[in-house]
Amino acid sequence: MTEAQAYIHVAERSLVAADGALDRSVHEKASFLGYHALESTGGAFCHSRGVPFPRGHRKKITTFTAAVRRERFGRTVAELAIAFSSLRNPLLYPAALQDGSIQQPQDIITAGQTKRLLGRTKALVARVKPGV
Amino acid sequence: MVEISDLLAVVRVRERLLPRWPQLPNHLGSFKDGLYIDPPKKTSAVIALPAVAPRVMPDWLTFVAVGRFRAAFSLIEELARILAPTALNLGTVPRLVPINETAFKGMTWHTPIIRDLQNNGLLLYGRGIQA
Repeated sequence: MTEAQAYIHVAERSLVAADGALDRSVHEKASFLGYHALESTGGAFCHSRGVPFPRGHRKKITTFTAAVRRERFGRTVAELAIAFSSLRNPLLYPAALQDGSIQQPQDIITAGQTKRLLGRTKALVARVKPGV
Repeated sequence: MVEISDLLAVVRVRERLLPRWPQLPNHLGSFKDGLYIDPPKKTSAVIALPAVAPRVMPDWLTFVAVGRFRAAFSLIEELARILAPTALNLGTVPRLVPINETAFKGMTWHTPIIRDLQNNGLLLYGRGIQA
């Protein structure tokens, strides 16, 4: 198994875990696992094309987006990259809002939106996988 | 209480940023164009912030999105679709920070996020406001 294939394996397992979290109604964790799947898919793609894959979370997503510029699935990657980059920290930690209330991770996204987001991530993994 | 229209009137004046930020990255203009070509329906305003971190140059990729929503992801999903072509073309990925319009009722001009927007914010899109 190459490093690129290992990354795809991580992405697929993350999505299996995401489905499990969604089944148990922990949809914010399912979304976070979707983020991890996107990042790992980026690792697979970049390793397969000889693009150095950085360590920082934000740089990983940016590098993946820049690397797929000429790919047919480039726009999907860019859309998911913006969505997951914006969701990452709010999905992990509660935040005190300016009006004094506390925003909890499960309030950021609904279960239905999570299902849709994971569906698009699964489709992306399926498109990237044959090329790695 | 902060009136959103008052805030937008401040952040649309680009020249006020010049003393602190004489050079702004070109990607702001590209994302702005994208938002006016394909205007969002749920989002009423998008304001860019430099997001200064220690020892790091500001990337101007934090976009505060104002709108009405039940789940913040509604705005993120809408804007991700609109901003994706520019992000792909430039290889830059903005981070969206949704703020509910209803939250402005509990804010003043001294509230940290409002103060930051007032001092450093740059309007990229405002519903009903010319580009």
